[in-house]
Amino acid sequence: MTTLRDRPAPAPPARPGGAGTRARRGAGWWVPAGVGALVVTVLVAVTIGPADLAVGDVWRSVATHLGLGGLLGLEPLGALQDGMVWQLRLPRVLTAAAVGAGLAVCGVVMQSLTRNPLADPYLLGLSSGASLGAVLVLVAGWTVLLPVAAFGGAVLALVAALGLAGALGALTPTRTVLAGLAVSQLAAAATSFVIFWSATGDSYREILSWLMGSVAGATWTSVAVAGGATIVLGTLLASTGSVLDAFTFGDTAASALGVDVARVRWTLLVGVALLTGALVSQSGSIGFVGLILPHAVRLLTGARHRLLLPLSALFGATFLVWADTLARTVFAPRELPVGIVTAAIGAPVFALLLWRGRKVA
Amino acid sequence: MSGTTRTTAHVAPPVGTDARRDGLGDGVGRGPSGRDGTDGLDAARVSWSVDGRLVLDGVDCTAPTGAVSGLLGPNGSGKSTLLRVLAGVRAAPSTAPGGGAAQVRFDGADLLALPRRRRARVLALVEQDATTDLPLSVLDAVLLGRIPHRSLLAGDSAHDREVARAALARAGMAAFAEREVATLSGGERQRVHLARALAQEPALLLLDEPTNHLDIAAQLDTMRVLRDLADDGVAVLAALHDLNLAAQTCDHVVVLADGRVVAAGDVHEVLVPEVLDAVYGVRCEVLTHPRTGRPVLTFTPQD
Ligand SMILES: Nc1ncnc2c1ncn2[C@@H]1O[C@H](COP(=O)(O)OP(=O)(O)OP(=O)(O)O)[C@@H](O)[C@H]1O
Ligand SMILES: [Mg+2]
Repeated sequence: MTTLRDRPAPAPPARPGGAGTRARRGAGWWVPAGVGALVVTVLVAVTIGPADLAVGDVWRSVATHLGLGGLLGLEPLGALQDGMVWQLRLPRVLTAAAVGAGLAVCGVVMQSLTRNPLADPYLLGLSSGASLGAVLVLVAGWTVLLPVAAFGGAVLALVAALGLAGALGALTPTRTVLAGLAVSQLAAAATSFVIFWSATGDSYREILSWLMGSVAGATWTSVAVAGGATIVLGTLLASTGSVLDAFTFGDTAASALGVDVARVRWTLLVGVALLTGALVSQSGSIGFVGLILPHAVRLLTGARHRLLLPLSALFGATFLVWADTLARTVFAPRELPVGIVTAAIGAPVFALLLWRGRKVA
Repeated sequence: MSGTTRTTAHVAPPVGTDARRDGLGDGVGRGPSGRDGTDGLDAARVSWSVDGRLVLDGVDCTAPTGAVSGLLGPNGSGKSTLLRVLAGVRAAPSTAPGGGAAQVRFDGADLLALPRRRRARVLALVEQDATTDLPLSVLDAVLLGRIPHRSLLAGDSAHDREVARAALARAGMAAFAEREVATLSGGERQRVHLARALAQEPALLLLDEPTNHLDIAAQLDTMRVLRDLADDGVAVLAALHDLNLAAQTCDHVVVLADGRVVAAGDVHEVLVPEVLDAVYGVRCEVLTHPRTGRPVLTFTPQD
């Protein structure tokens, strides 16, 4: 049988081990390793803070609340320390993990769906819409409504962006991105106007902290909302690996591989928007996680999604927990919004990735 | 570089043998007795318009099983559009003004009525220019061709990888399996796309200028692989620009101009001055190849 004349063997890859080799070597261990790293991260991060708590104390508190205290013969922690673990640090750490995981998955999906390496979960104006909603209620002093207003703002922005893109014709990546940009700019302008016109004294700091993104006020409700959304929607999104793979060479190629391009794009965009909206409602819009993590993990896994999606979730969670730990300890007792930390880490890392990828791009 | 050394190192079963087994089940597949007149692609009265402009105007086009068919025509004549409409990746064809309903049949079955995934197991499309900036290895790119063959939740099976490696070998790219697609030359990438289509194990292979970017030896090699697939029972339809390449390697050609079929049939009947002079606006002379007996075309400007 005929084969094409074999091409001469290629020069050795520019970097030792191309994406393909890397993707296969030991790949089976990455997800378990990622899970392990995340669990350790959560357990350690809870112990870090102004009042020192040992890992054992944390386990005691957690085990007691899980009803395992009697079984293991543990003495309950003192009320103060217990409250510190169970009411403050644990919800905060878990919220950070859920938000980090969700944002990273959303980032992967957005980048693949739009075939735009600069895409992030906020691409369709979601963060600007959420910000507008949040700032409106903060200025009005209705702080309790903040999550609802932020989520509502994100969903409205999505509807506006998809409506605009759809009104211009088929929902192509370019058109979707441009429509998102337009909505984003408009919402940002409106937000600035509201702040400029009516924000006073205290609300400035509150607004700024929200705009930069923060999990400082996280409660068990935040864990439920962010965690629930990440587990339900994130799992759905993360199970679409094969479909996203099919988009690698564009819409026509995806369609020729049997994918209903229009339906998949609508479904995934809406899924990403709902998840992002839920996350933003709890933490404000934390930047760079959804942009950087997917690129960093692709260096390990290559562009196939089956490993990329779950690993991005695990690494995103781990990353944001540590970023938040830095945010609350570096200038203790003052806290930074975690968004400042992710930006401070993310911007140089992004530059590094660009530099590493220069041969390819 | 020696253009004539060919290695036939790979031993995997020929890609395409699965086509008959996997293609159209449910009584529309080819019987073992093989090829009668209705075998292969049979498209009739295909029209397609965009923004009120008729890009395809009642095109009739066949690509019999076991043959390599060439789709010819000047730039903008509608070759790529026709291939996409046939592949079902463009909106369905419209009915030509005054004509009957469009139909696209393969082995007698209505191709465009098939569910997408099933259609993707029957036909593969190699596009004109498809690229990615993502860090994707060549093997992973070829494995994309297996997507229609497995459940959307499943990963690559050992069989998938075997088929992908065989397809790569068949496209002469076995040594490139671990390279990143974005770092390949245009010709190498073209071969990867061919391999990806082969990994789909299609019964109908549609190719849009598969010899683009290829050196002359690689062009002939590609056409030889297509011939080989045809011999394995695949219907092959390739849009080509090089009329001489088509004359040497195709069994059957269709010439498009302005979205209409100008001529179709055997290369000896179609690749003649009466057809080509008008379509391309050149002056064409036909010689006969001393060894193959096929037409050799020369062109000079019309005065
Ligand atoms: N989506 C579209 N919108 C507008 N015009 C289109 C569209 N698709 C195709 N056309 C037009 O239809 C005509 C046929 O295009 P097509 O790409 O099929 O040509 P082709 O024969 O493949 O040309 P080439 O040899 O240059 O590849 C061209 O004039 C093109 O501009
Ligand atoms: Mg074309």
